[in-house]
Amino acid sequence: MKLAVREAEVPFHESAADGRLEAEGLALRAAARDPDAWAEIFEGHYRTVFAFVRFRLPGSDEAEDIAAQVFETAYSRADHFDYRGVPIEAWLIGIARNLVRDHVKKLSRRPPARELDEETSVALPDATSLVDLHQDIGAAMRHLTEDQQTVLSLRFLLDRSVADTARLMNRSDDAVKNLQRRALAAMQRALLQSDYREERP
Amino acid sequence: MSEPSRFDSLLDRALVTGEVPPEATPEERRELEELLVAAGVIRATSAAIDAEAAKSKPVTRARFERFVQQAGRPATAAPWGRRPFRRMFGLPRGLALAGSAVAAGLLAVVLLVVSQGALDSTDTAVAEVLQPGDYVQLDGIVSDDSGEGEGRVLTLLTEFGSVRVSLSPGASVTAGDSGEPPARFRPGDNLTLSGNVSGDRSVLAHAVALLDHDGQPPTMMRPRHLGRQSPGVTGRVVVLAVTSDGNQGRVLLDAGEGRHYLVTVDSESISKLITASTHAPGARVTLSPHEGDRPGVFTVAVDSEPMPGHRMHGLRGVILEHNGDSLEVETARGRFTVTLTDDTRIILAQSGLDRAEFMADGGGVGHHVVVVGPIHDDTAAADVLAVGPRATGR
Repeated sequence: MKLAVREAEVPFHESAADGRLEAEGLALRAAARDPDAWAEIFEGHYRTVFAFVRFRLPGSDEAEDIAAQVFETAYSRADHFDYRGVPIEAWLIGIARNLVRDHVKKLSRRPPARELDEETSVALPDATSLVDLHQDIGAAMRHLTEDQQTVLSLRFLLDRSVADTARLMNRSDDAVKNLQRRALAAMQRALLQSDYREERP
Repeated sequence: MSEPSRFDSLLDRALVTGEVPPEATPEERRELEELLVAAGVIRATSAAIDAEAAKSKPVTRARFERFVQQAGRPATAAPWGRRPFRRMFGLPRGLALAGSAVAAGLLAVVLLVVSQGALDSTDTAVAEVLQPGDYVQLDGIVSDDSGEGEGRVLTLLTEFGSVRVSLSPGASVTAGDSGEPPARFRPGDNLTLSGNVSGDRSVLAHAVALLDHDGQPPTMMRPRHLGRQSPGVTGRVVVLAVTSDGNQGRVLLDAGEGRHYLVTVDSESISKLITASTHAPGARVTLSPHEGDRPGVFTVAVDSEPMPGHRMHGLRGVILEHNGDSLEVETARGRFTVTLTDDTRIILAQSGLDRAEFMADGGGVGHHVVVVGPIHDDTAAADVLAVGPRATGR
């Protein structure tokens, strides 16, 4: 079976702009594990999920793996999804947050030497890699809380409005604005910290 | 910090316009400028992440399609607890195999465990290397041979993951020096094969050859794309893939020191590889950027051919006749009838002919040709046909 795919990447909130019924219909089909519905969800949300995950992880390969796991997890739990409370995008981002959190915990528990060995065994520093995510951000992110990371990625990486961010984070608009301000300040402090600069290779 | 509501309003406007509103006090201006810098740094990474997302999307889509497909089957394992594939390998390389039933049995168990553990975790690499519709040549170690007749399925361990192989009706199965192939392959058997990639990334093999019984479990590596023009990369061909129109191909290259590259190559390179040895895996090559205006496409120079045992299922000769879908080819082993099918990849890059000229009756007569595909007696079905220049004196 081949999933029918659409070439264009259309943000879910735009593709469903015609109304809640369309989105709810998609959610119902997804809950029934309709392959076409899942193809639509994948096409509509992959960039969002990947970017959200990638912003918090140092490597593209692990971001790709986690992003894939987000859709696999969502598909496996499709019959537990209740559209009435949560848009699909928020549900996917919630899954992504949990998987990233687990992944980061595992990384932090790993002995440094072993981690180095494992990383070099499959992800050698590669001069041909398409993208080197800005190392400054990667290091600075360690100084931010998970909520701060989330609000920054939603607002400035995924270009979501304050209202959308509030909806996705289940917060009020004012809370998001406050969080955003503190997160930007923390990021700026981290970028300027002299001890952080010494960490750079 | 100033009062939240006023400052938040100023920040909102600053984030939209990129400029600090004129009514901001000097203290607010200083803070706003700092926050704008931080926001700008994050936004600046957006394009890079988009590029990564676009690059990874086809691979992840293929993995998700496969996941959905497998989830639709009964008794599918739950996806939770997926282990990174890098942890699954690194088996002891010193497993003694040769001729020992005990060792063979042990290897069978190890290979089975490895292949089952690897199936999900290497999906990404397999999906990247094996594109549906492509013709491929690859080597691998048998971990399982099950089913009967058309339902027979081999599981091969390769350097890029676990590959499911089924045998097409009429597939040619041979065994190197010993001649007769076994009724069933054993775990640890070292195979080389060619065939077409199906929609589920399995390979429908047209030709399979047993090289030896002493295969070592390969060290699996995640291939990288060699997207930039990096001349002078040398290595060993692991996989050759040819697109359905024969105009382009891909090579998975083991460049040593743990580096595996997946590169796009032009049709002339495919022709060179096929002409050099009929079966490209094992050949040592040097990659160079394509001299034309095709960024990301490489040309291949063959430095050394694979070991002789890797040559199989090929004819080399001169076209004597061409009528419709049938060629008569004169070779050092006699005269063969070669059949062209809808799936035959016809590569004309070194012939000086275009497709219309070749496909006409009599097209290509007098030209050198290399045919790759299953051979039975004096007939061959062409998977790949590489037509070369006109033979001297023809």
